[in-house]
Amino acid sequence: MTHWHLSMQCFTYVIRLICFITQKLDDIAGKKPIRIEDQEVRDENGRRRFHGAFTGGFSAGYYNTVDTKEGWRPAEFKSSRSDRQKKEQKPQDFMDEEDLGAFGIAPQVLRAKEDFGEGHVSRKRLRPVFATAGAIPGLPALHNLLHPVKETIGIKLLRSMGWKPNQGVGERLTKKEKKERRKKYEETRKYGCDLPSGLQQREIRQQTSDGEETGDESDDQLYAPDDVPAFLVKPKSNLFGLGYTGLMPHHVTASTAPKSGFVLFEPTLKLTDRKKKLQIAGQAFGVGAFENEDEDIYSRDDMSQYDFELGGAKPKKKNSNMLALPCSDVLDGFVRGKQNEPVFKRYPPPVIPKDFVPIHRSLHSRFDVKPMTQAELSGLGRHDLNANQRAAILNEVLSMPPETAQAPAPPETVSTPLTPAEVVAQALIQIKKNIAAQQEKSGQIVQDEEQKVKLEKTTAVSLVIDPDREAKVAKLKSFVESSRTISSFQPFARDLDKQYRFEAFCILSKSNRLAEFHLLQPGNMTAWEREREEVEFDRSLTLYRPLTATMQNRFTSGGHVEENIQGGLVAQIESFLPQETPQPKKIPVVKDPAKQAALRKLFGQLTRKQSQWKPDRLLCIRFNVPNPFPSAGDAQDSAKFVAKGTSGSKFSIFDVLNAVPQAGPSFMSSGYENVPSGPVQGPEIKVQELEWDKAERGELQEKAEPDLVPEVGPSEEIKEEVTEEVPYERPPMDVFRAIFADTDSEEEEEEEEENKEEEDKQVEETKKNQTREQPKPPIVEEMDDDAYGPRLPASGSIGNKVAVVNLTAIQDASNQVEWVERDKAKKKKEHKKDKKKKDKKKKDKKNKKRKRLHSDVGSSSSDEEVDDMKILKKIVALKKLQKL
Amino acid sequence: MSCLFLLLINYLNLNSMATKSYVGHLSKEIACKQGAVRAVRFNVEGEYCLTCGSDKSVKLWNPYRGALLKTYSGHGYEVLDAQSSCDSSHIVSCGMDKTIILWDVSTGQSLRKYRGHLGTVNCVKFNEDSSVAISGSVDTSVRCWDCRSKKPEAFQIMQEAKDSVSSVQVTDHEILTGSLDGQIRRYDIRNGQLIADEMAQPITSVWFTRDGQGLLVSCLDSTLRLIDKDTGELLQEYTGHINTEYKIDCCLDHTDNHVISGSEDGTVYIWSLVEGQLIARLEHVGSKVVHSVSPHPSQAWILTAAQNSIYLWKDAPEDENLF
Repeated sequence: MTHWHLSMQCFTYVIRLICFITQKLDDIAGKKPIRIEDQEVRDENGRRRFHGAFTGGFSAGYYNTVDTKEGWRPAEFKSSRSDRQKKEQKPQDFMDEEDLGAFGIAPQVLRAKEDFGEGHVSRKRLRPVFATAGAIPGLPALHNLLHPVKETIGIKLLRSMGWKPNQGVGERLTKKEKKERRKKYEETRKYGCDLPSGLQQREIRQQTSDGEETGDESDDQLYAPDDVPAFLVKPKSNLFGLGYTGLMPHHVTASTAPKSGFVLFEPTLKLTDRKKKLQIAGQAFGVGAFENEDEDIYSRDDMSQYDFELGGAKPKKKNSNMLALPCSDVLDGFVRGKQNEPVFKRYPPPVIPKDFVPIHRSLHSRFDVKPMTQAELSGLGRHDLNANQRAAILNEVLSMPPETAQAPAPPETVSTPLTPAEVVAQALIQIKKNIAAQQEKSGQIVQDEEQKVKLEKTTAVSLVIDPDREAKVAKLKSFVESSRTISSFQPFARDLDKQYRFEAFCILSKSNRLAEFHLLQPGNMTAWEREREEVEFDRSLTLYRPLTATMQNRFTSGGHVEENIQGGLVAQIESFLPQETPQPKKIPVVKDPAKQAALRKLFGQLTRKQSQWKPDRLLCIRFNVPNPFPSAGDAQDSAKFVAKGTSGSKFSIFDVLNAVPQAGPSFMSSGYENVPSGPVQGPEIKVQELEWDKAERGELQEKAEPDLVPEVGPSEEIKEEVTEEVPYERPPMDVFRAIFADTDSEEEEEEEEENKEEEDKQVEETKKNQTREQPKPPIVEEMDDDAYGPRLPASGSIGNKVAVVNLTAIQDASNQVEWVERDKAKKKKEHKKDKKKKDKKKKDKKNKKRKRLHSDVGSSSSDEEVDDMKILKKIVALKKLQKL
Repeated sequence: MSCLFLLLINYLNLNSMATKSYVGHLSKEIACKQGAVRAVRFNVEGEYCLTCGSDKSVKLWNPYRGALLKTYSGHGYEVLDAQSSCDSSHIVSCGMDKTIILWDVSTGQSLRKYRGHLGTVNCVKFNEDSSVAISGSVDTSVRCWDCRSKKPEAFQIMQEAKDSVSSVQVTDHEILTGSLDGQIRRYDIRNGQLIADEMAQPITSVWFTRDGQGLLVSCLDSTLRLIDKDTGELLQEYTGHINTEYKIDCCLDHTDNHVISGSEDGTVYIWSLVEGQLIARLEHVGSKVVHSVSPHPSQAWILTAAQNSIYLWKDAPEDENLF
């Protein structure tokens, strides 16, 4: 005990000593030894690797919790919209590092890929398989079925060591040894079931072949040992009982007759070898609802009784014949037709009777038979034409033979009705005559058109009784000839004579001598034919002309371009419609009066066109402009305003002042369009409004209310009327000078003043006119119907602001005109002024009167324009005063 | 009031500048490297400019430093016109690919692509608060596109023109179009009226005077005409330049005292508005046609485009520390 105690003491002592030493050592090293319980395995990130010391430690999440420092957070998601290269997310992104380690759930180990092998071709070299090629979508089925054979590494190694397939492994043996081994093997080795009969046979065969091969035995030769026979077991893949085969298709069809074994069913469908036809047999088909039970439905039906093709049965004999036929006379690549071409019976055309006339005349009555006219007989024309004429029609010959040289038809004075036979006989005679005449004339080819005309003349002459007429015709023809030009446009080119007449018609219609056209028509034409021809010509003329007109309308262009157009359709038509007198130089004809005015630099009313234009609602909103065509629903707003105005017991000046900009649209409209007057309210009226007693105002507004609706849209018609009636034009250059010109010199000033005076006069005159012509316009306060956003400062900027200035400036003065006048008067021209002043005063009085009558004075747009000028003038005057 | 004020300013300016001749000094020449420059446009403040190139791009420049700030590519064919919005945050451009594109200035991405024109789009303009883009096209139509909503179609189509619409100008309540059929058409939204003025000559460019009372019209007979807006009367004619073939811009300077127009002889012509006298010619060396002109909104500076360069002209010789 003491000993133990001593030893313990010793031990503790030693330990202390050791501790002391280590302490000392630590002091030297500056380090404390880590206690075992303090020793921790940590991973590379400083996390504790193991937990639970007693079980050997496990790694769990975040400080023994399932949490992480940031909570659960998968790999960061980034929108791939801007960064397309970002790879897709993988399961690994959601795993811890431990999981990917060697012992994790998804260890990352280097290993051969599944498809790594001998037969494997790298993916890069794989030929693309076109999935769409086959009928079945997706990868081709065969592609998946036929995999290249993979060789294991063992076989590879064996191969490298000299092993060959179908050889055993081991030492090489002599023939004898081999045989012994085989015997031994066969004796000993028997396990499991017997090998299938096929395999056994094969084995036996192999053995025998081996024996044959090595027929001449020699002990020197060594052979590789026999391969261990592959033990093939067919795995059972179904859940049926042993030996059960199920209903195999070949049982049903019996295409391959079962050689052995039990056949459950008689084959219902038989494919007989001889006929190669399906035979339906058996009892697979019941009795249908629509079948009579009496029918012998269970009798064996043969498919040969059915037709498999449309049409009748094939002629068998022929087929055999075809095959039997020698094919020597058939070209390579051709097959002899199987069906002979049907032989149609041919009938000869009917024999035309010799006295047949190919013209049909409808007989209105049996007794009213008229003889055929020459025109009718020659109507088809083809009998009358000779080779030359046909050539002419076909444009084969340039020179035209006289075509109109038909025998002059005798004046038809046949009054007695003829029998059809007689008619035919006459017609035949006529045709014969014609042909004879043609043949005569074909000899002489007349090239000149004049000659042709002469010929025509002769024909005409022969017909004409009136000698005056002859002269007239000659005159007319000479006129036509003179103004005729060669045109490429020939609507009646087939009939040259007609074409000539058509051209003459064009010329005459141009020169308004259409009445004489009938003179040019050949005498052998009936009145109806003449009329019809004229109508035809007229129609073709009008048909071709408006086309060009419409085309020209389509293509508007600058005036100067039009004149340069040459060639094309226009030129053609121009030549086709020849001018009376050839114009050496074309003057650009501009039909548009506005264009003419612009070309003559008469800009202004002539060149200006105003029309209504409906801006889109959104456009008005975007431009922050009240809609000039507000919808009916907006009328409520204006009504509200009126109601407010009438009901309000307090009437303050601010109401009116506020109302001024609201009257903007109409105010501006008149101001901008320079429509001298209109149903518009000016500031003066507002001033007067102040003076009205309430009752009167209420009355007026009541009156005005019904007028509001038509007032909303700009009353275009009224304005247009006004512009027509009052052709007031502001002298622009003067105004311009008034604004911009240098006014330092005295002379200019005087001129200016004169100008102003003139202007004033004009203004006054227009005012008078307006008052005369315009009835008292309804006094309506036009409201801003669409109220969006802040009140538009610009909308009333020009007119309204000026008006306000006027309000303050001309409170006592009757008219600003006078105000300006007085200003001028202080300086000079007293003698001149007196006269004018009187005039002015008169006018002023008138104005006052008008005001009293609540008539519209200051509202006229011209006044507002003048307002601008006045203010300018005021400024000028002020400046001068300062200078003085 | 504003009108009055403008007139006053006009008047005062006239007094001070009437005797002073307008002389242009070439301050900068920038080769844009985007093929032919089809148009050059100052932005609203005049700090930057846009150029439209035949290489399907729109470029944003600081013309004073000659620095390229951004390239906007996305058009399918030559870009013919562009304009920056009132807050310079968007750009609208149009071109021969029949589209109008709304760009975001800072990102350079196209926000909208408006298809609907049947032909080359000649010109495009924003309205006052840049909520509507108004474009004129060879298909004779003027179309209004909403830039606020995402509506892909034009919400209003004006098809009154009988020929290609060459130029469009927009004020707070008016749309002014010039067409090759020789008419200027003013669509007054406030009054719901269309006012057409016949010029009898194909019109290449139109411009509003600042006071809104006059219209400057450039015609293909080498004449600029100043038309009174109210009456349609001719106030002044400006001739001397050549404009018979191309679409050549005309404009007024910031004071409305000078009429500026490009020309087909490689020169920019400057007339005095009132007298109609030729004041200055700005020669572009080596150029044949100066077809695009853009005035600075507050200085007497002009940007011009000829061939594949743009030129900045100033009224006085350089003082460089302005920008």
